[in-house]
Amino acid sequence: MTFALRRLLLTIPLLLAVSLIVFALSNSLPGDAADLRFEKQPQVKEEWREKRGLNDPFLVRWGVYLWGVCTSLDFGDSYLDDRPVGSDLMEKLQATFELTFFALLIAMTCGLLAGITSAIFPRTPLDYAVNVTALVGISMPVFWLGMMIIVVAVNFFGFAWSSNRVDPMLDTEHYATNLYVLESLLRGDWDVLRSATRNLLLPCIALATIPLAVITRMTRSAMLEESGRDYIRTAQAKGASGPRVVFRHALRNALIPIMTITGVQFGALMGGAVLTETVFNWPGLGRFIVDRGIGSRDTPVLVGGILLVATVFILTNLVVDLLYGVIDPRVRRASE
Amino acid sequence: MRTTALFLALLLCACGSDKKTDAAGGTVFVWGKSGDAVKLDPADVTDGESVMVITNIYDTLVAFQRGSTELQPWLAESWEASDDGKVWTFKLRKDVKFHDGSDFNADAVLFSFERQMDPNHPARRADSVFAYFQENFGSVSKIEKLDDFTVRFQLSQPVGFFDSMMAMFCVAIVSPTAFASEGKDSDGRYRYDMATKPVGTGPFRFVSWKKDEYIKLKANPDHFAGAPGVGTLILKPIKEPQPRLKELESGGLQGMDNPDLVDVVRLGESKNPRVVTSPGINVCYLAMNTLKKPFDNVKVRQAVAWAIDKNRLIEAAYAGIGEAAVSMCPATMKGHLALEDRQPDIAKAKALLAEAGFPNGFETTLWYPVIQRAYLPDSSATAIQLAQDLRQIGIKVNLKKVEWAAYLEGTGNGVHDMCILGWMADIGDPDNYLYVLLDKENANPPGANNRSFYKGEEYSRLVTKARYTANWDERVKLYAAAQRILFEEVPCVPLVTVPDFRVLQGDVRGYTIYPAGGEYFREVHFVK
Repeated sequence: MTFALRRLLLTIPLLLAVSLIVFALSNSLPGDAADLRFEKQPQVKEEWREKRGLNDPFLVRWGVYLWGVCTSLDFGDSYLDDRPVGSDLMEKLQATFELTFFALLIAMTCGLLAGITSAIFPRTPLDYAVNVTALVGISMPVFWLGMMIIVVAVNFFGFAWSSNRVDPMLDTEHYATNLYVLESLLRGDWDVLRSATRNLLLPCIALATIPLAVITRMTRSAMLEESGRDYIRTAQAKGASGPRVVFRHALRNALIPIMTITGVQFGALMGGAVLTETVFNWPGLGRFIVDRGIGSRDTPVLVGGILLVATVFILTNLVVDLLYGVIDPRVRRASE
Repeated sequence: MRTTALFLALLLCACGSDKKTDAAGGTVFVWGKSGDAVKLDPADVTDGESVMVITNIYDTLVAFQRGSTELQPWLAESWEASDDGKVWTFKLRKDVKFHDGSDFNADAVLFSFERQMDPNHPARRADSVFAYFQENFGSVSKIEKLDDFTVRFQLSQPVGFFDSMMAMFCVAIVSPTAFASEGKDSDGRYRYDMATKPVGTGPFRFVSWKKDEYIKLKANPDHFAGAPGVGTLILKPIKEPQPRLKELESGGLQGMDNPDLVDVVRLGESKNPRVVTSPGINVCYLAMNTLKKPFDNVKVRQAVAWAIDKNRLIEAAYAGIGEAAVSMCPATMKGHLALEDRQPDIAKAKALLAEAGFPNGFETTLWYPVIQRAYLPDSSATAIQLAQDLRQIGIKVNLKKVEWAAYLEGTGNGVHDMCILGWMADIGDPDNYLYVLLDKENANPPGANNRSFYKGEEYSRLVTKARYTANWDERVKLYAAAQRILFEEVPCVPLVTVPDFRVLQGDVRGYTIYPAGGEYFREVHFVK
């Protein structure tokens, strides 16, 4: 427990540093939100900059920002629509979470199965097939793959894909969260669930190819490594069945590196699924940060978004570290 | 595992048909647009994506006629200007109601203007900057109510096109009752947020807005011009043009804006989906910084103009679509002067350069932005083509590709030698091009709209006079003279005017492109 607490406390200076760096970087970019927003109205630019404090030195703005975040969890008002960015960021975070979660679910299921299969039959055509597929998956740019998935699904299979998260004609205004699949499942709102899953499927498959390839290859190499160890031979010698040796003995030990890589992938996708989100028009966090934070020079969105991604990343790693203990009793004992 | 099974089970039954009717039995029209709106308060908006939504929720006193920049009475039945162009009186319609049920009258008009004129008005936030009003309506000195349905504007200077200005989205009429409905904050300002809960008199009522997903509007059956042709209007932002078209082709959208020009060529005469087009009121131009050598020399600028092959540029960077522009006031705008354009002539350009003292040419830098606009679909291709043309007369052009915010700042400060920019009209009047883009008043950094920093005295006299003249025939003469000067002095080379394109499903009728911006969906309906 002290381990977890210590890790949590360590995030505070980390987040401070992140926010300062982002502030400094965004401050050093040429051009600002006023140049873009008042592209055709040069007269009002200065007035607006003055009102919104853009003329203050950036350390002052950083201080004001931190004060707002620490005292009232206020992430500032957007430079584009002048409204608080906190609620927008939370909405986008949830949309991205839904996408990432299901993509990883697909990637984990398929990746483990494929990886184990190719480890059981090393250097056979099956192994090569899995390897080549993984290689293709890891090398294929997701924006191209995404377009291809849309073309194939829509043109060849007549799949009624739409880039909404959920059909706008369905009544979802009263939803408390932005996790349509989960909330509609809990509410028993089958129409919304159907619409949300259908629209989630294609971006999920596209996004899953990234971690899928990594997980497959990681599983294969970890499993191969384990299968050459003494305890495997011992298990086989004492007459344990094939599946038992694979799943109970080898896989359990191979899981640690697989989990590490999955955790890292999850953290990375929470902020880095920009291309998938753009191709599939998914209103996610990564796209929000790039389009709004950088594209419109909306510094509060940029800083808040990056802080959020950093927090998620740190927390994911913490959870993975804690899970090591669950899988491997030696780790648990060592940390106690 | 169970979740996956459920997931798959759901997908099997997921192939239902698209819903085409709303709860009230009305038809549903889904429109794909290039970006989400920022705000839905007409006074507080500076971006085109917001305007496209606003034009359907609110009405203005004066409106554009279908598909043109000619005016027609709208919330105002009639209007008249005094002879000196300083007093404008508008008579209002008596049969109009806001979406919240309150009456439209002179008080509502006064409210909508006063909140933009008075910084301490309760219907604006402390940090509000009403940019369009501030930039364009500085001449309004007083607005008064003569009776419940008559308002009068006093202008400090005569504005000949004040009625055109009344068709601008920023002076759309908002509901005072809506503002008052949630009380005031301690600082005396209304709590109500018009930007997220818009209430106007327009053909569609606001229902909901999921940011970056969709805006849902429903028909206003009580609109004074008649109920809209569809029951529900959904405006959906899809940033990239190709996925947008893909979704239209798969039936998810009934219409969309800004297709890629290559897709326009591909779709050609197809009936379903069908491309609709209208000559755009825009101009893409090459600005030369006249404050810097050698572009302070008019002969150099003329040489550049003689060297550029606009038709080849259109082939190379506009998929062959677009009209070569001759004047900075596009051919589609009233007041345009039809001049005979220079045909590319390398020998003549070289001779002019030699006369200017550059027989061997010179080296310069061309700035171009990282954006896609209707008038600039492929900025790199445009820049490369221009550089090639200029190399033929010995001008070595270094290309400098700059991110948009930095580009606006840099060119507004006059850091560039040459730059590529474009302009779309805010107001259906030549003033919006010839004064805004090239008058000496607008050549002051930072943030100068006059990116050539051109300060022609005679030119300025003409466009300023035209600005404050009420008589249209007289203005046409002034603008013609001004355009002739531009053509000779060449502070910038007008390159291309690009048509507007939309794509519609085959069964959609009643849609018209409005050249001055905004979308108007009131008359859209499906063929039976």
